[in-house]
Amino acid sequence: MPYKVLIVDDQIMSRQLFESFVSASDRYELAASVDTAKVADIYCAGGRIDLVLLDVVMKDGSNGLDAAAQIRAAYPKVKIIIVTSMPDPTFLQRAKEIGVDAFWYKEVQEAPMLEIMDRVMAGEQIFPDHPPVTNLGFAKSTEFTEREMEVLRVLAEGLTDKEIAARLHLSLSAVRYHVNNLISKTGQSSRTELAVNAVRSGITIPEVKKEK
Amino acid sequence: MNCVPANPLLDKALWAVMGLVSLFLFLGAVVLFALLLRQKRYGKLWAALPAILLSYFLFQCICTYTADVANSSAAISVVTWFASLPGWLVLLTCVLLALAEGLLFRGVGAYEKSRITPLSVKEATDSLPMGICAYLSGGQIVMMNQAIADFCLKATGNVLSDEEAFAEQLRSGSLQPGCKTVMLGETPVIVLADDTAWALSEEILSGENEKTRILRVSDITEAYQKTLALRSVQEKVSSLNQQLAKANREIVNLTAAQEVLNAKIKIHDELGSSLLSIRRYLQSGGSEEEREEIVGRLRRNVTCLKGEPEASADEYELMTETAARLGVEIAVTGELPQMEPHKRILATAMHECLTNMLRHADGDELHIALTESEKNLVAVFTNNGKAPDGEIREKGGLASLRVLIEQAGGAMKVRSVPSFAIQLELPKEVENAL
Repeated sequence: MPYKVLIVDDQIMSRQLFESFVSASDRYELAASVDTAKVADIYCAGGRIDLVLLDVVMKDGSNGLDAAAQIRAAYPKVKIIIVTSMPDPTFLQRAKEIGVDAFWYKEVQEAPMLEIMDRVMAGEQIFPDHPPVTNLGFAKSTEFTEREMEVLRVLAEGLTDKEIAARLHLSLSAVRYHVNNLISKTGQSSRTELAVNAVRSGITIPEVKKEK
Repeated sequence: MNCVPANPLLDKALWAVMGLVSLFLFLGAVVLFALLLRQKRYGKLWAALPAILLSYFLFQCICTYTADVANSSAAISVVTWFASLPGWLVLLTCVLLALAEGLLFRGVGAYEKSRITPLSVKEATDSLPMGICAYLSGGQIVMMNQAIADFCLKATGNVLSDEEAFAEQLRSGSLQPGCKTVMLGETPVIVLADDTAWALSEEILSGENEKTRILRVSDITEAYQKTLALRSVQEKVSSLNQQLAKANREIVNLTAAQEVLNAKIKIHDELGSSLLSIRRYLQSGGSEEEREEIVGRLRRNVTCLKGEPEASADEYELMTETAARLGVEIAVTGELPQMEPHKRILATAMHECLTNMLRHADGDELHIALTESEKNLVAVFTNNGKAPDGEIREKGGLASLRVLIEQAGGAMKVRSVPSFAIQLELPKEVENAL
């Protein structure tokens, strides 16, 4: 009996790629392929889904990590593989917190997708050691401290230093210190340039927030 | 007097001088008495009174003696007694009197300097940089300094005579041309025509009988100018941040578009490779399987290159399509609301009911009955699945749905027997801030 797979990705290219993986194997059967994470849990409720391939950032504002958290809570037996092209390290961290079964970067394929799917269905959990290394100005994404990443993430949302301090429960001087450090590490000329390039590089994606 | 000089002319002259001195001592003592009375230092009057009497007695004796005008036996006996006194004693008495009066005058002067009088208060407040005005209820002014008088004149064009009238003028905004009232936080500020800014504050001092109010106006021009400059900077920063947030949203879309472009480039390459395969197939005459594989690859690539279909943005359509794919029909009676936040709440309820029906009731029809009253919109969700085994416990999605509805001022009822049903009641007028 083949495993039923739900594919959730807003990019038709990626969906077709995953569909081709699924149809190429007789161990899997495509249950549905949708372009929004909003309905992923409905398919799980009615479709007897065994495996979900979930993208993170969707055009309609929904995100795969929130959907993964819902599915994990309501259908603990459904296996979940997060697939993304965004190197934002918080995605990987949050996916682990939610308890998904695997995390797969579209651009950096450490193993073929089918192999990952097989290992997940066999009960294995597969996570990359670290997100892909990207450059932000002169600095590599691995050179930033955890706190700097937090500040950068909120900065990219367009918040002022005062608002960042309130959000992260830091003092104003501490926020300024981290922002200056980020600017000096990356060689950016301003905080605006820093924020724009941080999003452009994929180090942080401001739209994807943790579900409270 | 035994020390009187032998020369009678000289004797008269000396006594005239002594008389003059005793007259001055007398007048000094009287002035001293008057000053002590004015200062209300009644205890010290006992010191001034003997000086007055003694100096007056001396003056009278000297005058009577030198003028030889004693016309009664008592006066003659007194003058005789006085004449028998040694001259140095009279002189010593005058010196002691002068010393005593000098000390008393000094005390009066020191007291005057150390005492706070209404005048000294006025002088002190006039030197303050802030304007200050004390008044009683009804606007009667008790005290004001020069700064507030000047401020009133510049702000209203009138002399400050009634505080309540002045306050009313400030409140109504009937100020001199070029003056304006602004709020700096919770503090009212008057900006005068000369661009100086004055903050107003009031304090109530409770007295024994009536309340005295203190109105203060403080020059905060520097702070006001800096606040204006700061506000301007904050507005610019806020605008820049909004632009930044917008730019970042664009970047996400651009990144996604870039991803699509990269994939299309890959397919383009793959198409090239497919064409080469076709050529090879045609030249060498390949197998049926090879032909099928090439056709399949070409079909996939062409489909991808046709572009992205537009995503369905409508929440109701999304739910209906999803349900249809899962073999569920959503039957709606009445009209689904299109305004927010009703639409979002109804779509969330559809989502929840659909999920619950698929998960627990195994039904294939979801019914939504919508009715409207004058003020409310009522939606009842039922399904054709099996009835719940027992009372439904609200948790997860149902609990979140209840919160959402109650935040909008509505109510939700969940029925478990004889069959499952949810009734939502939403007010038609809801602030779309949820």
